[in-house]
Amino acid sequence: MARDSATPRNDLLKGTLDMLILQTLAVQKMHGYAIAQRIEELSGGAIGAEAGSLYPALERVQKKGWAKSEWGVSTTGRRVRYYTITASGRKQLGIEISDFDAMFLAINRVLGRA
Amino acid sequence: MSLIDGWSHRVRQWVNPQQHDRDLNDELSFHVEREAAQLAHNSRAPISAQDALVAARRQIGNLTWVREETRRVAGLATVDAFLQDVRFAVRSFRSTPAFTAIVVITLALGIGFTAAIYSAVNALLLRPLPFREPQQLMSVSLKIPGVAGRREIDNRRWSYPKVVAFRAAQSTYTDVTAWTLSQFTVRLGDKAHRVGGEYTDSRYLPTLGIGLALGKNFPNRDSLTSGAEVTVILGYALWRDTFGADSAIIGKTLQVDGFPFTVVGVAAAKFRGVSGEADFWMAAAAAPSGWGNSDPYNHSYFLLGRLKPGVTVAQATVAAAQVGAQVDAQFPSRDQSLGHWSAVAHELDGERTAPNVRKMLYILLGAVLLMLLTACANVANLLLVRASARQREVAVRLALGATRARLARQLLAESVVLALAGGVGSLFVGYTSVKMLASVQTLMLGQTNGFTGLGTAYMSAIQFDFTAFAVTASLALATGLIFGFAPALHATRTSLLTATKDSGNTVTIGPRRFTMRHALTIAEISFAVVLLAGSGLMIRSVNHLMSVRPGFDAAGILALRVNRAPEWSRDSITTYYDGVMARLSETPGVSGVAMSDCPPLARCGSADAFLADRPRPSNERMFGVGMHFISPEFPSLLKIPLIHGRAFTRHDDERAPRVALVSERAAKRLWNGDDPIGRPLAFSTATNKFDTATVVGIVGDVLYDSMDSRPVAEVYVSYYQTHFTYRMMLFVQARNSASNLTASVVNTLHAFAPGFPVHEIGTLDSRVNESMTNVRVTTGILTIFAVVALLLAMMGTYGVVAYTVSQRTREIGVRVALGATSAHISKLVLWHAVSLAAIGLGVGMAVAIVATTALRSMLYEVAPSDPVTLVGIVVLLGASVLAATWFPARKAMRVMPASVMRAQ
Repeated sequence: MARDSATPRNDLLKGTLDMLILQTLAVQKMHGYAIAQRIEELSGGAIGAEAGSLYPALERVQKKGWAKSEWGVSTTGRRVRYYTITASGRKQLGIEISDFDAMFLAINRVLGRA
Repeated sequence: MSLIDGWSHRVRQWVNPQQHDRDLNDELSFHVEREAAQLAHNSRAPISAQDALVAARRQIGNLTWVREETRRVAGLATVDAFLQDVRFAVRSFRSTPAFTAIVVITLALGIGFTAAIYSAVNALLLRPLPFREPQQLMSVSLKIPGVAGRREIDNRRWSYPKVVAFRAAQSTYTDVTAWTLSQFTVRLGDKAHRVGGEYTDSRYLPTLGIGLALGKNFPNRDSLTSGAEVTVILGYALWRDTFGADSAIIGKTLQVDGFPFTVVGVAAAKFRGVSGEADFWMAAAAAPSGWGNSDPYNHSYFLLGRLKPGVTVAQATVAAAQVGAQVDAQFPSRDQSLGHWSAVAHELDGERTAPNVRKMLYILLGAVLLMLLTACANVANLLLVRASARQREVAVRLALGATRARLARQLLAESVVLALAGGVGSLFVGYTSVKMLASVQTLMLGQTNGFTGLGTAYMSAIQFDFTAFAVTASLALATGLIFGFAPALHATRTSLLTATKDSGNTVTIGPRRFTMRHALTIAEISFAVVLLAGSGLMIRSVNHLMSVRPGFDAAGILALRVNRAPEWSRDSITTYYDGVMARLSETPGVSGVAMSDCPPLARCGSADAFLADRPRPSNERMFGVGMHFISPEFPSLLKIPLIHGRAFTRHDDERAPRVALVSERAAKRLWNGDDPIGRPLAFSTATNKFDTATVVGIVGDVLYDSMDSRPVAEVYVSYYQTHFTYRMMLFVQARNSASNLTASVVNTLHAFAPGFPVHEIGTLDSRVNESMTNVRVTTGILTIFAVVALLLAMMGTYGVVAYTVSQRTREIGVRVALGATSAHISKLVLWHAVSLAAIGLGVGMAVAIVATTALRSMLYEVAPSDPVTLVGIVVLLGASVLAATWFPARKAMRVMPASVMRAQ
């Protein structure tokens, strides 16, 4: 196996991105671009899910079985891949959120804010 | 669930990576378009669609990187790398076609032949017989002691009354049954079928542990009761294919050779009796009285028993002798000179293949294993050479930044590609060889004489054995891995420094290292020597056999066995056979017809004889002679020369004085040089009396036993002057081709008498050939193995010598520079090859001398230490090694000192 080129910082982001994707899909099924738009929108432009991270992340969540994809037709009549969250994806989302909460709390403690 | 979703996603992508790429491209271009639309929408100034797309691409960044990153996450990078490795391997093999072809062919032949021979051994010797707990089944036969100079016979069949007597007296078997196979015409309604049927009894199916698909077993009436209902059990295939699987068949009446039989059951599927050729079974005890089952001296049954639990084979052997003596007391031999009969028990499993076939199989198995070892050694040798030649390549690639894991993966891919190619080739070789083995007709002859194997164990039962294939293939592939992958992997440990510095041009100092390659080459040569010795001896033996003159001319003669149909009485039988012969001689294409009770190369009757004009000697001092009952035309039709006196005529009939012909050998042995013409000869008959006949002629010797036998004393009596006409052999001389005559001869016989039982129809030539099939097949296969092994040994020698020459180029250059002539150099190279060959030859010869003793019984007029063969091997091997050394030696002789120096 070729060495994983991701740095620790990316790891943190990657895990978070998976969570954000699942959160977005939990509301409704969407295509890749819409997911990026929604995350950017909801984060008030602070988090830009770029294609370079988004599509590998979508591949990853599918491989883990958290999301499924199917081809459909967009409102503009174009062939588009739609992603749907699976039952295990919802369960995973719950786990990731509580992990994130725990981590968030821990970091805040370290920073002396809690 | 998530596991299934995830894996189905992965599998879809691995199965079709191109689809994954297309989808991703679509998705990304959609992303770009939407991004562009968004930009155009947000832009204050109007913007062209083209500009928007460019801007969107700029914003998104490197699309190729996105694609590759996604592929990596998808795990497709591994697939990519593997496919790349395979492509690389294929390309590198294509650049070395000779090496690749040799390895693949070696693997294919080694694995394929071994799997084929093992398939044969498994089918004929190893596979358990298709009966319940077959190891408990014993075959018991009558034993006739070897008195009066006769050989002991221990495979004599039983009469049914003796079977009943044995069953009543024995206590070692849970049950005892009997069977015998014959051909019958079965008629139901207006449909008639010629099928094999076994006579047996109600104990048969339970003893073998075979159930019924339909109906019941025979009624339990195994004592001989006349007038009982005669019953038949159908074989599953006959019932299904011929009688349409009609379950209402139970209780219906079938005509078997004209007699009514009631169907009581249908046997379990796939069961075809112990003979392996039966389509139905009849209860012997209730058979029509004319069929001879109540005659205690009509020996036609094989006896089969299932040992009681806990009874050993040794105990069964002792018990069989005791019970056999009791049976003999109850039915004493009518011919006192035959002594007291007994019985012997053998494991049924050991009886299933004729001893000569068993022997042939073991010899071939040994030979093929030797060849497999040679093949493995050759593959190992070639791969070792390749691995060491690649040391530099590996070192350079390591230096250029390849990881060891990456190199190892690639080397593994090469091994896998080679192995797969060899595997596919070996499947082809194995499958073809099995087909050829299965088509060998070797057992037909001799079946008439005794029990020479079960139908379950005919050559035609050989099927390709995938277990054997798997075992052999994994052995050969393990060789490939150990000798190809391992050294290559080891090479990845070499440092760039040593590999490039020590670039294969150093001068060898001190004694040369004895390497693995040398050992492998010597092994190859010695295996080849053993195989050459075996096949050489067999070839010499076959040549001797082929030049044997059997004493008759088989050309253009069709032979067929006819049995006395039950409705013919003994008195009318000569009239009947005369009619048959008259009709046959009128058939177009027939130039002559003769009859004998026994064909050449299939020993039939024998008798005790003495000179009737001398005092009758004691039984032990009588002459053992072969007895023949012939029609007058027999000697002339088979071109057996009349040496002296006259032949039989039609007038030598039952009213005329009894006359006899004797063979040359008989004339010498019995009369010691005196003229036997006109002298009376007494000989024993089937009815335990002595007949006397006057010798009227001497005919040439004929080999009645086998091509490798010696002529013995034979006595011929006219069949008009005897009652022994139970079954006869007809000989039809064709004007042109004997085999084309088959159909018209059978038609003539059936027109003469519908349902006339005809067996063993075939040309006399083919009988002669079949009598040598075993030896020929063994010789042919051994020779193939030996040639393959010799070629492999040549390659091995070439490989190791060529490698050494390339390693010693610099040394040779220096020697030439210092004044060595090309003769010196070639001697240097040749000496190397010759020393390898000499060691291999020595080891091989030592093994061969021991190993070829296994062939002794198959050899005819050739000793295992036959000097011609041994010298031949030395010459052949020497020539082969020299041929293999020629190219490397020439290369060495042409080494230019200047170019070697310049290369440094």
